[in-house]
Amino acid sequence: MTTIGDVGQPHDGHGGEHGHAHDPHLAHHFDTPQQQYDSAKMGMWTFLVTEILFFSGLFCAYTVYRHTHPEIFLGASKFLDKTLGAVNTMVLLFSSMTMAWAVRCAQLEQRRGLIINLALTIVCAFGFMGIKYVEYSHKFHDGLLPGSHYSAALHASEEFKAAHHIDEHFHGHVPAEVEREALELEQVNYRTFFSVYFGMTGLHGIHVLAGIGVLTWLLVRALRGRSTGTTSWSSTTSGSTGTSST
Amino acid sequence: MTTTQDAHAAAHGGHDDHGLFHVSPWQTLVAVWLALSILTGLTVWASELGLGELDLLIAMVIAIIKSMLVALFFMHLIYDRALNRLVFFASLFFVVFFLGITMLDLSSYKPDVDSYRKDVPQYEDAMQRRPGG
Repeated sequence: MTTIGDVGQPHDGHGGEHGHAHDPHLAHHFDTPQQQYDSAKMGMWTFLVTEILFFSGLFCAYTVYRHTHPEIFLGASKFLDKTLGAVNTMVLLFSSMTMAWAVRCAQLEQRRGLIINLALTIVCAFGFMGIKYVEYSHKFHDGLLPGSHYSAALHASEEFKAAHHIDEHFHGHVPAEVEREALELEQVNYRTFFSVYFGMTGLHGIHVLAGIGVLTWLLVRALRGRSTGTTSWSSTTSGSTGTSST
Repeated sequence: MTTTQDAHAAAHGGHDDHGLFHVSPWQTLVAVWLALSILTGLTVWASELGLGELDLLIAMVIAIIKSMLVALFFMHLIYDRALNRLVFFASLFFVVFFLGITMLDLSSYKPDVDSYRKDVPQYEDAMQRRPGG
């Protein structure tokens, strides 16, 4: 570590002074590449922490709503496609690995590996958005929308049919008035479930899009062969790992 | 620490005791990815069992393990400066604090909500007619 007196000394252009060559990527307000690297990385962690706290507002809404209305979660979650969700999770996990691998390549100054891994990560991000598009389209089509936009047809679950003695050929038929009223009461709050659903997954989708932007910028830089300077690279890319894996 | 890192630190002048950063071996990255994939499979499998109340607990425990794997290995937190670990875990503490206080507040209003529901016959009637209710 340096003493206070050292801080602010012009280091660039005084190559012989410290016995080691000056890194052109070292900004004048830092003493050492280590200090610059640590500062950048801590800045990235601080940003990620604000993201965690920001998402926790939505997690709080989810927790409160799930706690007060467990039956709505049981009912409305049946409209979600578990297979598509699982596949999309696998896509994200693979992209987290390729992103971490891209960081490794940047650290070792392996340009080819860096380009491959960044490209794979971007492809995964588009794949994720594609699957999300399919999921959202189904829900838009069925009217499973947030708040006042909710317009889904009443859906009788097996439990509901059993409880109200509705026969198996319910599909397409408007149930008798009493059953209809009970169904409406059960499903009137599904709209709030879908508000939470679209709020959380939509915000995540926006993050994936932002990640595509950042990674494209990094890929263009790598393709141009510019600045594989590890200090700037690894801090940026380690932040992107987090974004791509949330 | 690994030899890769020593070699790397040397290649960059080696002016620091512990190198500029830690380079993760690719084997670690693949192993963590495999672990994450298996844990995802486990979550899906457990959700099919119909364990009721336990479902949520199992899903949450697995999710916490997964997020720790990502933060510690993919995001290098395990090799990082203690200060960055502190920043990260402090934020988790505040998330728990945030959710915990909210839930405490919610449960403190529960008697009021319950008595309100009893006073509104319409609501009580609807609850009676709910399947299983």
